[in-house]
Amino acid sequence: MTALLSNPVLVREMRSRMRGRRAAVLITFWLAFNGGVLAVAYLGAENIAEDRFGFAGFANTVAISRGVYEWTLFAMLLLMVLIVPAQAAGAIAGERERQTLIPLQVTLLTPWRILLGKVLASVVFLGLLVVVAMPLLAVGYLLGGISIADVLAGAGAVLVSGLLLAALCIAVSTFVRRVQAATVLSYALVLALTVGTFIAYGAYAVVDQARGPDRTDPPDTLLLANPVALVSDVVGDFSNTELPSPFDGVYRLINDQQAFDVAVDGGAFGPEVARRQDGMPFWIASLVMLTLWAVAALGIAARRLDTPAETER
Amino acid sequence: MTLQMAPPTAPPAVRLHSVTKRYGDLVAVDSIDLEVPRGSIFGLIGPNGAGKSTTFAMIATLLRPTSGVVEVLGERPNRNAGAVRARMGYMPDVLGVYDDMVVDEYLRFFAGAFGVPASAHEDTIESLLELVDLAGKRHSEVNSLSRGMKQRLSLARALVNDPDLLVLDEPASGLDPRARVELRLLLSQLQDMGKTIIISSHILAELAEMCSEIAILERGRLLASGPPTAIRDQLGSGRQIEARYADGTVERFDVDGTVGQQALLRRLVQEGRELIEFREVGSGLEDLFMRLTQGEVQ
Ligand SMILES: Nc1ncnc2c1ncn2[C@@H]1O[C@H](COP(=O)(O)OP(=O)(O)OP(=O)(O)O)[C@@H](O)[C@H]1O
Ligand SMILES: [Mg+2]
Repeated sequence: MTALLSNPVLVREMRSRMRGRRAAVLITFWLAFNGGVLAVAYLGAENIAEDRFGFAGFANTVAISRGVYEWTLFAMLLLMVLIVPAQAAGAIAGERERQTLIPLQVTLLTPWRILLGKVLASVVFLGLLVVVAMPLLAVGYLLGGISIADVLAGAGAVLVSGLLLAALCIAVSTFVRRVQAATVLSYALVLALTVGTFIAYGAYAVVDQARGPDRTDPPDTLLLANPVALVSDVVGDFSNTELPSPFDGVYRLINDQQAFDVAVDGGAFGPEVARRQDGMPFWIASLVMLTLWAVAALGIAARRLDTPAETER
Repeated sequence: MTLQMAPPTAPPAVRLHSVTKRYGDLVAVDSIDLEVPRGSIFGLIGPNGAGKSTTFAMIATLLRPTSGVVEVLGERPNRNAGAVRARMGYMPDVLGVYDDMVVDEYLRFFAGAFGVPASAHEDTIESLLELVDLAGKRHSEVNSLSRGMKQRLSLARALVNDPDLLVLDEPASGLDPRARVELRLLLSQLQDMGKTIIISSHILAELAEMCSEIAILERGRLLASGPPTAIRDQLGSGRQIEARYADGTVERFDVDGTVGQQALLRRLVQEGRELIEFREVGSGLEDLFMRLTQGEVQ
């Protein structure tokens, strides 16, 4: 553990990220954007809830608090997905571009430690973003509709998604010479995972439909590497508040088989987290899958960074 | 300049045995054999594209030779890069610096990367900055340093692990004359500390004075190697003499070796010329270098 934290790359990355105005500006923007979404979600949820349920009912408060919590979390996830490639793409490509990689490679730091330093710096930075946003998520808790556990689970899911995407982008960065190229590739990768997998899922459904009216859906496996699906499974539910929810749609998609079971025997207060048919919750399978990808990508990246090499790197 | 004699049994600091490096069809380094004695300052000279940086990268554990054997401080960089890195300082031909980083942090970072214990950082950095004459710049941003200062900082970085071997790829490029002289003094100081130094340049005169041995490389092939004087004798080069007279006129002569030089001096004196200065210019090596590498610059 101390060996992990005494990583000189981590220390340097933290310093340079925190220095100057960039970090402050980013954190300010992060809070402003998420806070703005929170405000809109609150007002919107209040309006809709009043129309549907009338004033100050219990269901009213629950619905508003859920809406605020989910939309704020969704804003955080969205912004994180946009921030991560920009932050991580320069990890190694930037060292190459500034010609600082070679001096680093002739030190006693191994490629793994260099990469780990970069990943840890991302963890710390993304962790900081999530921590400063906790008061926003706490608003949902204070309104009374969600528990502390919900808040922690949601924030944790967003953080872990960001971290795994960062690890993948850092690995991408190892294979290119220019930060610009690394940035483009990183956004492409993140887009493929977050949006591309949904498109693949949809395409599968269309093709499947065309072949006949069976009740099999596209396999959830298509969405396992999708961080949005991961967070949706942790946060979403079957609640029928009729308020728009950013996560429930995906949640139902992933868990639709169980929707019937729950409706039949669990009723409205059925289990919060539905199970996949093989018994493993989707989010665990997704976490395992994304982690494996990240570790494998970093492993290949470490080989790429290893010297002596066949050609100079 | 002192020429330290290593004990005869000690292996050379660097040994290359028929080392070849190919990039596709291009033979960047063509089957070269080299031995760098411990404690020496060894100069590798060659025109652009000769293969100097490639050779250094193989010595510095960065590149694998296509064939042949590289041995550094008794270790094979290919098999045990860590053991070599721990005892080597490498200064590449490009000066990469981090944005908004202060000199002190820069050296601390590399000290950490070499596993120098944090308790020793303070002393290490202080003495290194003293050595490269940057003590006053300790809290300046690396980016704000002049090129010569960056070069010296880069040298300090290469020294942060107190290496036995220094591999310096064109450390004098871009330096003004005074800075070159200072660099030379610094290197002989380091030699006195017992370090072996390998240095490259495409300016022969720069190296001839400070190197105990030189090797001339062109198109990946070794044209000559040995002590500068031996190379000159071995290749039978003439010397160039400059004579300056009391009336301010200067005359140049080509002479053949020491004997020719003596004869010329005698003749000028006998002729009654008012000689106020009589000296060898360049080292004769420059001509030799030009001839050796003539027209083959890539
Ligand atoms: N990574 C590479 N890929 C392909 N060719 C390379 C690579 N690195 C060097 N070369 C080629 O190998 C040859 C030797 O290059 P090298 O950099 O070793 O020369 P040098 O003696 O250091 O030259 P200079 O004085 O310009 O620094 C050149 O022809 C160069 O184009
Ligand atoms: Mg070079």
